[in-house]
Amino acid sequence: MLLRAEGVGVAFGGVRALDEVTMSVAAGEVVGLIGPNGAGKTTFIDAVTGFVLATGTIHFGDQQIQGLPAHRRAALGLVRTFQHLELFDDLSLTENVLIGHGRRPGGRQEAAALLDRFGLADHAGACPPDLSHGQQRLLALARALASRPRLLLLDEPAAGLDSRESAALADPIRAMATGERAVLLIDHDVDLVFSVCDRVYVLEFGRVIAAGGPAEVSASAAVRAAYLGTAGDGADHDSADHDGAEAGGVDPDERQSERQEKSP
Amino acid sequence: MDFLSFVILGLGSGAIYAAFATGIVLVHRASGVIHFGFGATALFGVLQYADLRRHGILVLPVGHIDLGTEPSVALCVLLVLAHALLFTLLIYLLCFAPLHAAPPLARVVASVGVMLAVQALIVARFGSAPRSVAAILPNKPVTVLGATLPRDRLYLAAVALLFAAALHLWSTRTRFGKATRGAAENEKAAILLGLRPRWLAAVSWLLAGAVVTVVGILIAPTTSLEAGSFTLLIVPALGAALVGRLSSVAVAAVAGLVLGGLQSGLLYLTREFSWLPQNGLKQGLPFLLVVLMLMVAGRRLPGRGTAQDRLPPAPAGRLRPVPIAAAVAAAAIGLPLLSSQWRLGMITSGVAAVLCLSLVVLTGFVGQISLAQMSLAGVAGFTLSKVTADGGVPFPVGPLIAVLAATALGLLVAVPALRVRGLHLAVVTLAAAVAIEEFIFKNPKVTGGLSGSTVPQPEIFGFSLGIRGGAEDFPRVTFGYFVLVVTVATALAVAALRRHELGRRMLAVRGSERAAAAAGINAARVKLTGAAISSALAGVGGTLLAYQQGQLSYASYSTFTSLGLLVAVYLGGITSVSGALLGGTLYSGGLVSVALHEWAGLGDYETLILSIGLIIVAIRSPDGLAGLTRQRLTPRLRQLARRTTTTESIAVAEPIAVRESTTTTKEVNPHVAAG
Repeated sequence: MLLRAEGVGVAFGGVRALDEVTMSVAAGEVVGLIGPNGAGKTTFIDAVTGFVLATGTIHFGDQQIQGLPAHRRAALGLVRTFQHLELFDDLSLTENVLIGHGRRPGGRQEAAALLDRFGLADHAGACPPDLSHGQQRLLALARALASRPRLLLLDEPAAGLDSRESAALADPIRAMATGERAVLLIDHDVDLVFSVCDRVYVLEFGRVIAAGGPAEVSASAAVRAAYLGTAGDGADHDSADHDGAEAGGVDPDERQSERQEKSP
Repeated sequence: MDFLSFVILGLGSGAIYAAFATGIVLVHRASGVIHFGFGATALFGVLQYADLRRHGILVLPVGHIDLGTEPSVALCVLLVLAHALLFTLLIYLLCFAPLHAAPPLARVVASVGVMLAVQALIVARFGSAPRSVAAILPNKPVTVLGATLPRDRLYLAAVALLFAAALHLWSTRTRFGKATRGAAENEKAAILLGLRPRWLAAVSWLLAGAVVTVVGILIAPTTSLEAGSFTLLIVPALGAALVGRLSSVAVAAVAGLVLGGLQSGLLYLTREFSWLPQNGLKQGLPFLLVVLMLMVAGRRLPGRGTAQDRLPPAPAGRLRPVPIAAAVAAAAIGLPLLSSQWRLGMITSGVAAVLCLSLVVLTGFVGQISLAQMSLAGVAGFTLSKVTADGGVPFPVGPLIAVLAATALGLLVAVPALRVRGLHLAVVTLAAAVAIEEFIFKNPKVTGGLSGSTVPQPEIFGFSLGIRGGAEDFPRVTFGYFVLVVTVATALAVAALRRHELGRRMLAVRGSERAAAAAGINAARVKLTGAAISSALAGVGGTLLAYQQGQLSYASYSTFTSLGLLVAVYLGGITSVSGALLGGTLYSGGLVSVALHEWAGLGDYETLILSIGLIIVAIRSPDGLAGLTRQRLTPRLRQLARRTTTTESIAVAEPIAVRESTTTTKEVNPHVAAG
């Protein structure tokens, strides 16, 4: 296993954002992590990459990485992206990618190749604020890839993209998980997650409520309850989901129909 | 007199700390500004009161009113208070209200600008003649716990506490006070609730102005009214305000009183125990307090970079050899042709440019604020004097040791900075500047007492590089060339740093510490490296300044010179090498200074003009003057470039599915889901 997280817990004050979460990612895999807003998906990435103090044990390869600072974990090959991108607005696109590249030689050529691969070569000298939202998301991916990740943790790479754009991300993401490399993907676009992932974990209120292959998970009653709400507690979930911050619908069926309407 | 009497005597200065701390907290809570200028505005009121009481003349920032008679204390206080309220309101509305959403650096700089402007105004309007104020509070001796003391100290403490208690109740119990705090926390929500945040903030400013002025007048009979020292009473007050976490008026006021008492108690201890350092303990205490508070309250995990923390862009300008060579050649030809006044101005500008470069690296590249840069330069200067005059170390080695000393101290100051950001960092470094000044620069053991610290002229292979001596006029052209070479070399080095991988990492840390950490960058190490480079540059500037002066005085490395340096480089443009070079000409004694003296006859108003310029730049153009020219030029260049490339880009736009439709997505979904 490339990543083994066992009994990971994170508490913010009295709130348990993650509660005894156990998860693993093997080399060559794309693993999905889905769940309603506030389920603890980003917190899990934060815990694995060292951006929040967590309990439990986390192994990366053979190494126990709990306690290592964020930059050391990144150097080991645990590379993440951010929901809010956190691009370096003062640096050009090339320089952004070079930051990911670090101090290895041959940065310029590799950066040019990466920018080209994501269709950003024309803007190499521009700064991120000059790009469209979608281009900024691609730049974040390029920067992460420049860090030579062994495990790439993508935090909502498709947020703010429409379904067509989001679907276009499927192939690149799939291509990132080859050989020794793996991807952990968080996204609200359930279509995207189910189409590229080998396995999917579902989080709700900081706990894993389902895990398995996409077909298995999408059929799971617990998952449907978490997303749609059952007769008993549906109102609660509704209010939690309707904070206006949703990137795309969370209901797989709804997404499906939306997609069918759009396709010619 | 024993320890306790000293402590009670200290309640006098404690009261003014408490009042300033109250003001700082009120204003910070209402508008997110740490106002360094309370000391200066209070002093303005106090001096107004003194002149009004003695001569019946009300001195205003412009002009004055002669009342003809000697007014009563109450009338004087009322007049001064009315003026102080108007003055404070004006400061808020003109300087800070427009900056309510500006980056911390802009707010710090504006605050420093106001402090320096008011202080310059004081010097221009009241001169430097000492004033004394007759006692206002009854000061008959009273016996407390066996010690006989003037009772006004107790009254002062009581007044300060009373104000603090009243304001505490006002802000926690009344609807108005709660609304003020709410509006400061979330301006949008407050507006939606029908509150008017600006108006609420203005009321806080007025209250703060009133407290500071009244307590200032009451304390005036017991303290020195010297402009520099009174203005810097703000530093211990900042310590007290931090104890109150910049949010509790009551805690801050009590902390201020305790601090005043403790400082005075320390004075007693240094008298009793001769082995204690005789200098700077008093000023060291607030610094320790500030550092301690911020270390305890600081955060260690990578912080969330918010859009508001943005600094102006630091462009990696292409190095254009032709214009650079032309500028250097012009300077080289100009040096021998200029009159000695202008030549000295040019030399000072060059030295100041090196000092400005140190801030470009620290603030412009790494994003750290420092109000103690000249203290580092001073340490280099005094080290140089020690090793060359006393130790006989020859030229290239002496300055090298001096630069190393500055670098070491800079690293020491940078360690607390690892856990402190933005506004708080400004406070730490200001406190450090005051502590270093008192502890080192005013210590006769270091500075050589009355004989002072001399710096032998630099000499290499028997060839003098010095500023004076030989048959040449003062300042010697050779020294001008020496400074020119150093300035050009450091400027090129900083430009190279920006384009180097290390410079990129600095800007990455400045942009987002989280993202930098995610890319494997050790933010702490980058910050320390930046601090080391910046301190070394400050050390280089400090040694040049020492060579220029020959005889060191702490005045050229005082806290106010650090503030003046920040003014100069911010005006020039703190994120670029060209900004630093421009900043050099703006520094006190630089080319602009000379021009103001020679051409406009406005030498006395130099600081005032520059500080007001600084406030305007902080509000209107955070990139400084260098950025202003870029802003004007680059959009036009881009327009030109766009015209030529549009036809090509259409062809490549198609394959990228993501590009076109995103604008619409953005409109529908302005936020991104929180996981």
